[in-house]
Amino acid sequence: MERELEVSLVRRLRAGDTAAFDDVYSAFNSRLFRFLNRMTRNRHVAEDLVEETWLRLVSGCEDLDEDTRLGAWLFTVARNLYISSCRAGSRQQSCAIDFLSLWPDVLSPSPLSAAVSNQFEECLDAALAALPPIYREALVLVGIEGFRPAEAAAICGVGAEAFRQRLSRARALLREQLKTEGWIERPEWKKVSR
Amino acid sequence: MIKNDDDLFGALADLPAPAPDPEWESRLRARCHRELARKVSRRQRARLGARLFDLTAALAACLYLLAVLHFAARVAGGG
Repeated sequence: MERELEVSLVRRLRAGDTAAFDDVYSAFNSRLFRFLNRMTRNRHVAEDLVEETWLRLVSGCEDLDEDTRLGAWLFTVARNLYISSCRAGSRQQSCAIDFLSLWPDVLSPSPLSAAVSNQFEECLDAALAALPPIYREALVLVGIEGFRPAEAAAICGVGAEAFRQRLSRARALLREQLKTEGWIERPEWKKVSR
Repeated sequence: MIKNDDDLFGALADLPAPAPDPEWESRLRARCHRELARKVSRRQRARLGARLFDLTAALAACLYLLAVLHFAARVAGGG
């Protein structure tokens, strides 16, 4: 989201403008749902937490600072709600995964490539799901939601260096898992800066 | 096959994700609209109340000032 647009949306939101709310909602609702669904592994819990996140925005919109980064604000609230829900009900242990909803039908060029691709995606998804939440959230925020590490660090409430280490550990754990499953081509790994 | 971190991040970004239920989305949007409207009307009522209070206070101050002036005029006239 462009900075000028974001500043104007925040200003309008503070005034209670529903059109501004709609713009923010359209930009972030799917992303928040995706993030919380990956974290909770439960569609209904994710929906509840997304709902609570939006209600927090609505109830606190007049207190937003002019320079609020809406994405970071919403994901921070969503993450805090997720942590609270984990504390309240040990949601991480929940095994009620809505697998059907996690794997939408996607048309692929051939049945073989579809099978291989789905196998890989299932393996990657399972490996991601098996990561401890602090590592999973690091990968989801940076790898899936496209936040810069500095933004993701702020969302997670940790320093940039701590987050960098967390992300690096998360990558290593995921790689290890994929290697066990035979999806890593070779043992030597080219590191890129993220 | 994954070769490096770029491949890994690319694969993560391409991972299929469930879309939110459109019905749920529109219900939630409507609920937030209602909350926003309620909030705005509460704020407007509070602003109106504050303005009325200011007006009443100003009126009371004027009346008090008039009474003081009137009393002062009477005292001055009587002396």
